[in-house]
Amino acid sequence: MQQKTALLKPVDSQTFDPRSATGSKKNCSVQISHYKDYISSLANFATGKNFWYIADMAKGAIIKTGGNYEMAKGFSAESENVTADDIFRCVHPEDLPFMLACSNYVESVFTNAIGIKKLIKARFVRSVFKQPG
Amino acid sequence: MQSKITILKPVLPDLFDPKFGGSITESPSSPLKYYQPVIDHLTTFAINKNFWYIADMVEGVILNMGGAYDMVHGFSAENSNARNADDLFKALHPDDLPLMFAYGKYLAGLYQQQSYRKRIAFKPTLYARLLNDNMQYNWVMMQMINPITDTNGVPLFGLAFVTDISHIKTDGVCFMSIYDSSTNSCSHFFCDKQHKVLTTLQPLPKITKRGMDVLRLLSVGYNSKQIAAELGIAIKTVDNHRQHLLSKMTAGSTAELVAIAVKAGLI
Repeated sequence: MQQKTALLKPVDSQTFDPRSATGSKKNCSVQISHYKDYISSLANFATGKNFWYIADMAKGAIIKTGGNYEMAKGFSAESENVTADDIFRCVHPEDLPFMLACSNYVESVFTNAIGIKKLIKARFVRSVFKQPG
Repeated sequence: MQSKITILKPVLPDLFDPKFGGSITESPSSPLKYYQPVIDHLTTFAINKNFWYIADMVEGVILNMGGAYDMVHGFSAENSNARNADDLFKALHPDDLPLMFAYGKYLAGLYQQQSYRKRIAFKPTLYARLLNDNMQYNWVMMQMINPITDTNGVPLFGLAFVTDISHIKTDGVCFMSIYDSSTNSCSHFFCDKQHKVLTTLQPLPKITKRGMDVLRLLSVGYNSKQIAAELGIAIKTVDNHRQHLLSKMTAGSTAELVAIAVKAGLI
């Protein structure tokens, strides 16, 4: 299998904007229910405790969450008006600039029009490892 | 999250039977039909190159397969269905095979002890090296999804989702994790490599039933007097058994004797 490694520059949380620079919902026909099937299938593929969220990248907000809320500090089933910052605060401070760099990279892949066929085949995985202790 | 580590004994290939002995009492609908909705979602959750197969654990064969066939040496779209399970085992790294058999055997036994609800809650994942068509061993994770069991819990069919994880795992050991979604707990399973060496290269000496009784009590810290009282025999007899055990297991002390017995899986 072909593998490629890219080195990205860490991105400071002060300069990161969770809102997509070019996103517009004007032509968006996809509804939240689009993810319903996927969410109900998540449990089949769990290798450990997990939670999910749907990110609204036009607003930079989290519009829906589910699963094991206690995995992210400060979240609960009752959490409302969750922002991307609330998620970022749970990411290890040393990992955050790398996570943000990955987010920017993913967005650039999307916006650089790689084509819908390639886009639906792409899988972006960002791993966060909790520091021991 | 709660986490537990268990060490299992490796199972040598000639002691592993991919037929788990389950019986089909009523005609099941096609396993492929049963698993199709899950298979349809596989690519959505894939983190890398992957394939899936449905294992028939009654006949010990691979019923159906799909995805990246070249991940398994010798498999192709044309020859993948109804293949003997041994063909897949041959592609596993020889060092990982006895460990994978140990995990498979443990899993089959575990299902039989649990209710249907609990079985569905278990999410086992096995991590091992698999030989691909380029004759390279790559780390893969095998997720075992919702096994179909008979009324006694014996697995009949299972869907395995195998993902190439060589981009995130390049070393380490073959192991299994079982996430129990009903309790949010995760158990990790490893095999004692030392034990493998002992079972394959150094046949263990025969130990009498009474010798084993003494060995077990020594391992939990009993002294000769306590063992004698527990077994209803003389202290001198206990000491004789201890001397025989030290000599048979070529151990220099009781502590070493117990350590050897644990590594060998005797206790």
